[in-house]
Amino acid sequence: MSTPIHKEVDLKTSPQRVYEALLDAKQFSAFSGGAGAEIQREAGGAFSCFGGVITGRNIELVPNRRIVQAWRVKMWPEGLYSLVTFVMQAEGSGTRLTMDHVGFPEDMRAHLNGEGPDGGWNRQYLEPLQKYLG
Amino acid sequence: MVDGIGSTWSRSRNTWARRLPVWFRPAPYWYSRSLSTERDGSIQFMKATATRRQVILLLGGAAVVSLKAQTGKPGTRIHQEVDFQVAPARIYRALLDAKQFSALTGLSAEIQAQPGGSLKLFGGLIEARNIELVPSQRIVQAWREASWTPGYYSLVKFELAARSPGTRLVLDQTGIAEEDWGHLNDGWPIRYWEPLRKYLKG
Repeated sequence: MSTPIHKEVDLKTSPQRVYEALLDAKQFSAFSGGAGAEIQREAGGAFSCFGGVITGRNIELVPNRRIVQAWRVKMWPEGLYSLVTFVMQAEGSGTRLTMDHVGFPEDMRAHLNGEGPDGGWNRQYLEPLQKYLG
Repeated sequence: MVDGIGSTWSRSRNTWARRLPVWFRPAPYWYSRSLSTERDGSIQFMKATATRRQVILLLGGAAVVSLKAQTGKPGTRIHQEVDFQVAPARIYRALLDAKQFSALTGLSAEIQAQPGGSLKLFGGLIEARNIELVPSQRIVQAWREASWTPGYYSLVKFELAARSPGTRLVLDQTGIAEEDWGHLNDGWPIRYWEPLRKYLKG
């Protein structure tokens, strides 16, 4: 079983703006480098981002506080999902965003954790989000 | 005598219940229905005996299933494989039809049977959401005990494969807390497989 990935990043904006950027398809596409994103914004709604490389479904949405998603990479075996939880917490005038990822294939860990050359949570999600939200 | 059986049974029930935390703690209807609704003492005795036998058989069955099916070690994931004598479609329907699921578990169930739909099972002890549904083949759900920390889910995947003369069901549950492993691993046979088998007569 894969060891969970835990990330924390401080953003200089409100929890609401972080929440919106993660769930609004237009904003998501904008901060993630322009690749296509489709996001159904309700609990149970499906999403597809990074041009369809990442797909999944919203499990639970607590506005401006928490997003829980079933999350998979296109090339994973059929039916295999992982769990991603974003928690937004107001910290002074900004937001601490924590991300927890569990249930992915162990051989994906290094990549997802940002240890490879081409991506992972830091380079694909968190740093671009930081840059986008100022 | 009736009292004797009743109290022996309730003692063993309590011991058992104490060892089984949270979501699959025995539902009261298992016992109370047969032990309290009869007016005639002798009928009550016979029925109580039958119920005890049934429960012993059920536990025996569960033990067989657990020996055969539980290959995982304590950790954050559970893998079980169980064979049924009925077709995949019947198991798929029983898991997603509120009426059938409620009948087989003896507790209320609300099920929105489409992808993204929510579920409340076992009288609200379990909350879930359908992630992916492939008719008669696969059910993927985000699945949690109502008592878990808010926002905390596990992922449950049922894979159904036709296998003469019935179905092999493969369960994978990931993302569980290590301290929940024991009761969840014991819970699947008791709460799902045996009731399903009994309900589907296969």
